[in-house]
Amino acid sequence: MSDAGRQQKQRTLPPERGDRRLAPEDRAALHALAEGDELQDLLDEVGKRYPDLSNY
Amino acid sequence: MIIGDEYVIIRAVAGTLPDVLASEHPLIVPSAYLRLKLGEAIFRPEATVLAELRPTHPLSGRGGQITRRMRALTDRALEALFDADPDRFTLIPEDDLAPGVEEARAVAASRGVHLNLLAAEYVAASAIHGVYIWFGHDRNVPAPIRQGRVPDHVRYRLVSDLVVPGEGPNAAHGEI
Repeated sequence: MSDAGRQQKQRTLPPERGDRRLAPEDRAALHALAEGDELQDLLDEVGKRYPDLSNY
Repeated sequence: MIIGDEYVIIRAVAGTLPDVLASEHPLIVPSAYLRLKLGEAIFRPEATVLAELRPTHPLSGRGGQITRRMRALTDRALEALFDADPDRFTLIPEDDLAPGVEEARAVAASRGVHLNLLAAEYVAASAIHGVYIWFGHDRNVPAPIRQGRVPDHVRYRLVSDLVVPGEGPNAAHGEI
């Protein structure tokens, strides 16, 4: 799906989905954070610092 | 109801969970939620959340991918993530899991398996709630769970497995 298609899908989300306080751009930013490998890099970094919170 | 990892919770707040999961109320274990908070503190230098725990990290402020994505989050988005709306997800109380965590670690240790707190909380939450744990990607599954070195009641699935080529991540089906 193209970026434009993905954004359109988010704009048309049913209102009962997601936090009601959020604007569409907030939702898009959160979604982008979740979808990227960067989130995993972030969590791995936390795991390196705190072994009890590591996946390994 | 499902147990979800950080990825699932973020998408629940964003309102972009795949259709098959959209009507499921996600629960998150305390350690996973803490990882999100610590991650935010490490990579978003201007953030106010857990400022006292924020270390200086070489990636901070360098304009890397993580920093850019974290900077893209507005205060509203962070508030939604860290000031949980109980309609979006539930943070499982640590006290609810404590006995199960101790038991899970003891059982695992008797089999020669070490469970850190994160893995033990997933095992305990799974025992209490009896539902699937949903992880965003295989990479985020704690090793003892991924390797099947935990009791059989621990069942998990990956959101990444739901993607149907050509239809996007919201088109999915399967057992919850």
